[in-house]
Amino acid sequence: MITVLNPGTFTTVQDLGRTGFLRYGVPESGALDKYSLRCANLLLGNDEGMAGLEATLFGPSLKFNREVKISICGGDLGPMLDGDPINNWEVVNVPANSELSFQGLIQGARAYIAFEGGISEQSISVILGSMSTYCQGGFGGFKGRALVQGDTFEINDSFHESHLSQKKIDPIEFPEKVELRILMGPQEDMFLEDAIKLLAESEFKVTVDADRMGIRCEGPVLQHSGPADLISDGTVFGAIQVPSSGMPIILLADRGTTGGYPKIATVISADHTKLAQLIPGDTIVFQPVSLETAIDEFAKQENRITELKGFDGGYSKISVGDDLISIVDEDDKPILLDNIDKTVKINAKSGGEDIEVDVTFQSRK
Amino acid sequence: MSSKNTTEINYPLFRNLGDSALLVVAGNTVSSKINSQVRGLITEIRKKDWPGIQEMVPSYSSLVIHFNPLVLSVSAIESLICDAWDSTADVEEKSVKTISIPTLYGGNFGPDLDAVAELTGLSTEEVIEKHSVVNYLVYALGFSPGFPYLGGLDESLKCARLCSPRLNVPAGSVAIADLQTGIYPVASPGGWRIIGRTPIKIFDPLRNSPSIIDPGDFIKFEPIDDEKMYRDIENQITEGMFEIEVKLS
Repeated sequence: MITVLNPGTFTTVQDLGRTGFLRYGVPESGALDKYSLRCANLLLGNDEGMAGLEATLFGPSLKFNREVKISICGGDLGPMLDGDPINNWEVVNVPANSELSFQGLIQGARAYIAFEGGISEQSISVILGSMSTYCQGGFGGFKGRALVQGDTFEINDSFHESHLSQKKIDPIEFPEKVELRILMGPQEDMFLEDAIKLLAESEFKVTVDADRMGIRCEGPVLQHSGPADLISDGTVFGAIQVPSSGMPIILLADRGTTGGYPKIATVISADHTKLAQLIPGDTIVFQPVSLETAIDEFAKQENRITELKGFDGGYSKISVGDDLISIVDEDDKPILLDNIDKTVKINAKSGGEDIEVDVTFQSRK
Repeated sequence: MSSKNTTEINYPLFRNLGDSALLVVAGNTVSSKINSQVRGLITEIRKKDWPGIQEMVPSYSSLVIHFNPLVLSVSAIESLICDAWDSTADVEEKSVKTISIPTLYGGNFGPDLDAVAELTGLSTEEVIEKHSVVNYLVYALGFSPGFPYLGGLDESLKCARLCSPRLNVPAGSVAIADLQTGIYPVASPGGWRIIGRTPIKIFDPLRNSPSIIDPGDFIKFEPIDDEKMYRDIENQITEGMFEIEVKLS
């Protein structure tokens, strides 16, 4: 059993979030920095999507009544075991009756604490397919709220062995000034050309209004070319919406699922980790990139995860000319390019047209 | 950006919403026809059962498709939408669900009913009559979990939002603002004018299907006579004995 002696600033149970309920207005929630949570789990041989604790700014103090292996990835909140500093990004053995605590923020904003075997379903119920806490909705995680002093939860026994021979991963650095790569749109045409220039060429500060719903930024006013509202449409993690004030808000995992403010650009998936680790006072520079770059960078990140899972190979990007294509089977179903370990001959589709291309896949071993 | 110079926009428009979602714009007005086509497109994409499609989120006149770009390309999704475009336009929906929402208007349960009557120049009875006679289309759910955006409010009921929003609107509150009406699924702050309340729990995360309302359904408010009847229904709901009236047509 683990007992919360002190909850820290804001500590919640999070996994990789809910899927399938955005259409009912239920945000995905889940770890803001999914990459770090996945790393923390994979270090322990856990399934990458198991729930852990997301600790924000000042971490919690936890008492362990039995021996458990843990790992902490993401921002560096200065973890200590019985008062002695321990490393992030590696497996740490926590003996029975010891106490995990945090000395204070060193870099980043959020640390992910994973437990070997994962948090027990007896302690945290799965709601709509996920253990993630959604505080505004009052459900998920520990009674729909952040942890408080005196909360207790159980850890599952683990039968898995980590695939990783080295029980550590290279840490990610989280500086106070970050470059976030963006894809323009979907509504960049609702802004003055000057606003698009300002977005790409100015520095923006993270204000104190930064939580799991979104990050409000401060910088030059991004002026709309007309009215600052549109017929509400769907939002995504990383979308940069600009209300009439002209100050951008970057939407995160607990955002409203629909919104009526124009979205000038969207942070690319590969930079969600950097985005999730921002704190008030940090500086952001937005760097527009192409869709191709965004997908390349996303593939690189997913390939790192695939390697941590002990697989060689991973995702490949396939293009014919300038066109990214998807590989489909005879029923028009896209073929997953993850972990293909065989040679197959297939037909491809490009821009709606069937094209006769013989492609041979081989794993990269 | 080029759309400003052209008088006619050809729908659908495709806009990248980051690298893992595509915004499909089906029109630029709030109309049941466009909204119906959005749902038709969802049906067509579902039929394909593509593994890279993660989630589809309809709104008034657009659709967001969440997908894995390492499995599926944007162009494949775009060509699928284009192929399905004509066949989903002007289609009568096969089955339409109308869900009855028993509602107690006025009093403590609808504290703004009198103000709405005053603002609109109608009697409270007329407000109730005009509000409960319509079958409202659910254009989308959003804002907060399970909150239905309903279209079709009678123009004579149009009134502005409250100057300062209430900090706590009780769950089940039926409210109006501008030309919209809605139901607060959970207690939350809100600036709409509350004219009644339903004992029906339209959203419950502990149910497998958390929302009794889907995009494309219709909602019909059924006035409840008095608080005793409201409590009766509430008790039946607690005991699991209440059956929500759903008409299929």
